[in-house]
Amino acid sequence: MVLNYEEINYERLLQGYRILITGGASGIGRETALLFAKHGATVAIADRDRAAGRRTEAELRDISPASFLVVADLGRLEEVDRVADLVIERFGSLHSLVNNVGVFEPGFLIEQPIEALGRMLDVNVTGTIRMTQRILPAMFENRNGTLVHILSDYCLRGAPGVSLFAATKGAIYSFSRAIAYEYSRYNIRSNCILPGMNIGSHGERYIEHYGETEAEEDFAQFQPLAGRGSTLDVANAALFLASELSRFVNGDQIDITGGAGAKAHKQYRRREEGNWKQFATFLTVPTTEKLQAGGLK
Amino acid sequence: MNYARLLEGRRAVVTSGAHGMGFAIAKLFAKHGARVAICGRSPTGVESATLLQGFCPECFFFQCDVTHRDELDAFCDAVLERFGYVDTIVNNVGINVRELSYEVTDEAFEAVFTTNLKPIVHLNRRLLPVLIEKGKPGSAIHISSVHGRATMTAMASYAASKGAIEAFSRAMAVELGPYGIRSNVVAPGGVFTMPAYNRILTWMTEHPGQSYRDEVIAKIPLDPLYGDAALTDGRAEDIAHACLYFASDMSAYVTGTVLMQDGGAGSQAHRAREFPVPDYFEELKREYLMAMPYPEPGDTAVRNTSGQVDLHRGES
Repeated sequence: MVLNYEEINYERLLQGYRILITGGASGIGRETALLFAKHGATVAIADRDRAAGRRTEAELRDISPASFLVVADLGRLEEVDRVADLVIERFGSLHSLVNNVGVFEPGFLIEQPIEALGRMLDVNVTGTIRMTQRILPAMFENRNGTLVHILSDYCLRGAPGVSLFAATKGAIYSFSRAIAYEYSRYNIRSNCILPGMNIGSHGERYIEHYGETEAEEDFAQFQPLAGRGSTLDVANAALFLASELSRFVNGDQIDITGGAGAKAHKQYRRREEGNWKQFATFLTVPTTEKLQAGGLK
Repeated sequence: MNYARLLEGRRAVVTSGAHGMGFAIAKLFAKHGARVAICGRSPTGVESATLLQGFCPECFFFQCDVTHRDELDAFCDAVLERFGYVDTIVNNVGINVRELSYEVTDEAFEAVFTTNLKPIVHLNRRLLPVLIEKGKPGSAIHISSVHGRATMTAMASYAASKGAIEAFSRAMAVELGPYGIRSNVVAPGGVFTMPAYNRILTWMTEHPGQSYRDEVIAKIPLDPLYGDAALTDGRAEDIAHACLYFASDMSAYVTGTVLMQDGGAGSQAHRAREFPVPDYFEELKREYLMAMPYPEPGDTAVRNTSGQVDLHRGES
């Protein structure tokens, strides 16, 4: 596909593209799906959350009528295969895959049961790699494709309480660079987006737990830019990486952290002993809720 | 967000913006609604500015050598007078002197740093306080190079200067973040601009009347064994698109980062003797190569005062 730079329509950057976004029912995935649809793409979303998925599907169809939802648990290989089969059957071929789905189960290493790693590995690593393995060949027909992996800035920088999660996201970070070369001859590019901790549901949970003022103060310790990142910031980066705008970008990443990567001496304000416990509470509470909501143990 | 006019109302400066990558950036910015000031050593920049004015009438060219403080000051004066303030700075100017790390001369080392780094520092001093006083957000984009990360033989001063640009950009990100001013680096690898062009022109003088496209490009053995990770060379427009991303609100929460523009070569540990290659690869590669704007016999190339080449198609 030879790009005619003079004729790019910047309002329809994904015109005619067929794209699968995993975990697209809410948050970053939903924002990305809607932005992609506005840019002319037909979007399939795969998510475990049926109710939220249906709402997003309806919103998507208003913009891009052929878009659809597949309800599936992407932590199970047979479910991943089912989604891939269905999407390939409906789309024929694909132009882009956004690996957005992720499970976040925080906790301190010495306290966390090893089973927590299993669930994160299933979704964040095994499911993601399996989906990529299945969807990739469906891009060959177009002679053009992009893989966008939405990971976390924990791939580059650590924080207390996220070691297992960081390990699973880091796996896909390395995976992305390895396949960047392996499929370059197919004109398929692979890039990552690393959103910071104050974006999307993670940031909201933090604010909910500590209150707006305290949370803002904490965020300011990490990044030079004022305020929080939004899910639209991530969606815009995904748009850049999925479209031909990034034709020469491969095996790379965009770090959406308001400059956390540039700032030395990031300090947790809650270093005093009592507050560490409070931080630990924040880390565990939402997970338990999520597990119960999902009917999972 | 209006994706067709991502830089509506912006006031931008692109150093060395009359030709090559700088011009591609200036043109894309103007197309997206920004008023753009470009500078360069060659007076032919006036023609580039005329093209920019087709998109945005306030665009202008200012002839100056950025290594001379008084000339750079005069450029800043002109920009501030016409635009009031500048909220988008693209530091594009750069030179390379190829010397081994243990043979670098003081003259070459200083020339590289004076051109590649010092104008960034001085533009900051002149333009950023005005922007901060206005209380407006902004974005600085620095064109570095893959050599800032990993380099090759006889690139020592250049690589050091490009690495320095990355570090300087991070410092800017940390200090200017609270004002809503962002700073990011675009690091191009192999991009088809002037040096590549000049090599082709040299070939053409050695092979009068022959087509580079037919004689060389069409005969490149499309052997995937020894390619790098990039499918093909980057184009100036690709770099411009990265700058557009960083200049616009698409990257509102991105600062202090480096985006490599090298087709993936920089993310690889080594070449591979074996990897999957599709049956359409040769066709695809040829399509790409044939679409490159190579000069043809009958075109006239004129070397301008800045040592670059202006091409006049089909004239003799």
